[in-house]
Amino acid sequence: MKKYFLSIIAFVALSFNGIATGETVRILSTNDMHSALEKMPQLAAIVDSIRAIDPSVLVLSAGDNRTGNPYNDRYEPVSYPMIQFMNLIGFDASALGNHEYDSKVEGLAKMTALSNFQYLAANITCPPETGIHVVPYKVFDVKGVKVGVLGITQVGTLGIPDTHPDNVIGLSFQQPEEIIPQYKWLSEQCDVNILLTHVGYEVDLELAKLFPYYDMIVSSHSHTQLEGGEIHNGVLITQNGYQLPRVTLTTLEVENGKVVSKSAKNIFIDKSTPRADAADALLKHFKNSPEMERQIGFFTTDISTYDALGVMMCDAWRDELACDIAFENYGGVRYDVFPAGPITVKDILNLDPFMNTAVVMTLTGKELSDMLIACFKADRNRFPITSGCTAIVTYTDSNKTDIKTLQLFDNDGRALDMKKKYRVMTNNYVASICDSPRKDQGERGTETTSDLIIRWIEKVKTVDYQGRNSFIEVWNNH
Amino acid sequence: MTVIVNNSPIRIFRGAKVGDLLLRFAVRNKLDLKSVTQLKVTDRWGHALDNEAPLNDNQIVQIINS
Repeated sequence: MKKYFLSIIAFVALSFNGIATGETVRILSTNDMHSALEKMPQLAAIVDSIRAIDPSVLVLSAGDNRTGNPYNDRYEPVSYPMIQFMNLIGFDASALGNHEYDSKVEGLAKMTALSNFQYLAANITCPPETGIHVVPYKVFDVKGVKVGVLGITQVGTLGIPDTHPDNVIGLSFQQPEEIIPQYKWLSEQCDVNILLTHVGYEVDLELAKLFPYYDMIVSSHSHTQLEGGEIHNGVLITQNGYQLPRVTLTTLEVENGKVVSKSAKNIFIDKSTPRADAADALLKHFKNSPEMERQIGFFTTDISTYDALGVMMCDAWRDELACDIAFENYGGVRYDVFPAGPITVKDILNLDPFMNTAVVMTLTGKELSDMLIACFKADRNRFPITSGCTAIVTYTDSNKTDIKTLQLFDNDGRALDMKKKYRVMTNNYVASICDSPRKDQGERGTETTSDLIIRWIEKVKTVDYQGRNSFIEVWNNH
Repeated sequence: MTVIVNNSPIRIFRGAKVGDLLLRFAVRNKLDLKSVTQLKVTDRWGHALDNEAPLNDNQIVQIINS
């Protein structure tokens, strides 16, 4: 720890350029932390080390602090662990990432109420009744230097952030390039001007072109790994991947109300990075979350096959997403035996541990049939598990080298209409590996498939799938 | 949506991430799915993108076998 502390001292000390007349403004920036709870003790140690040398360092997040770890995302109140870590570390401000909206307006309102730091977004309109605490900008006094930080949230092609439309009901958004000029006056009043954005590197390049009077853009969303920082049209841009592979320490030298030099360096976060004790204790607390042991339902009988567990999972998804048919790859089921008894949240997270999300498509019977065959081929010649339809699969030989014929039936035993359109769900892994022709590729949702199963079991309460299967296999050499 | 990979279009579902695109790329090019860990994705400027990075319609990326 001592050695690391000294290296940070050297790192920060080197950022002094010897100008006696000006002031140095330092910014430690993060982006797309995505519930990286395990790295919070290391981030805390880094911030502590820098603050020991420069207590006025600004600590900023460019958003997407949450979504990526059930220990954070399933906590009630949602994202409380990440917020507690950010409070402990002493973040000064955060942009709103598109995933900050994942728990709807109510969830975001709770998050903003619990945070000791300010959320910044100039291009969002939140009616007061939403309870969301967000302001367009904040001006920080850093050793007498006025540092203005303007927040920008991501707005996709639908005119809302990339999240389910239900998550942003009552909120309205404007495109960044429309709103930023309205804050030109702010830039004229501040010595240092920073855009804290969650719009992606490519859009940030455009913003740097359009608004060169900003000194710096703390970028996010595209998970772009920049080496230190890049200067485009005079604007310094920083961004670091996903879940804190690095953070960026930016040094701005300010003279007579103007930034006269700027530089940025990455600080890597890896196994060799020291950990702050207080944050480690907090991590231990959150890893013992009672939510994981919470009973959500009951298996009335043992389930002793992958097939039966897979059918249950597909039934849950089909029901929760109001689909005609759901299917998944055989390898998507991670338990072979599930004993009768209580089912906990942790059980389902172990059964479906991949953080997959649903892809919902509209397919004809023929497109579905082609997709199931494509799944068989891509998943090491294992036929997928289905709900809402059953299958008779005839293989060319006993080694299941290829499918000779595939017959699909609805739940009433009638042959599936090859021309009729069905609402079909699978997970993003299967949707990716099935490269069969289909008009509608579908859309990937934000809720994990495990969360869908948990919600379904909470609803049905008791589950009995012993002996269930969704297809019959026939070997035919003729 | 369509993503331009190594100058060729690949159609994939909306909301796909880089990891999804890698799987589709591997299947299309008849690569072992396990080999996707050997593939690296960069944006059009050569910056590394991780598997959770979101993709947009008409985005240009490069996939290289490392």
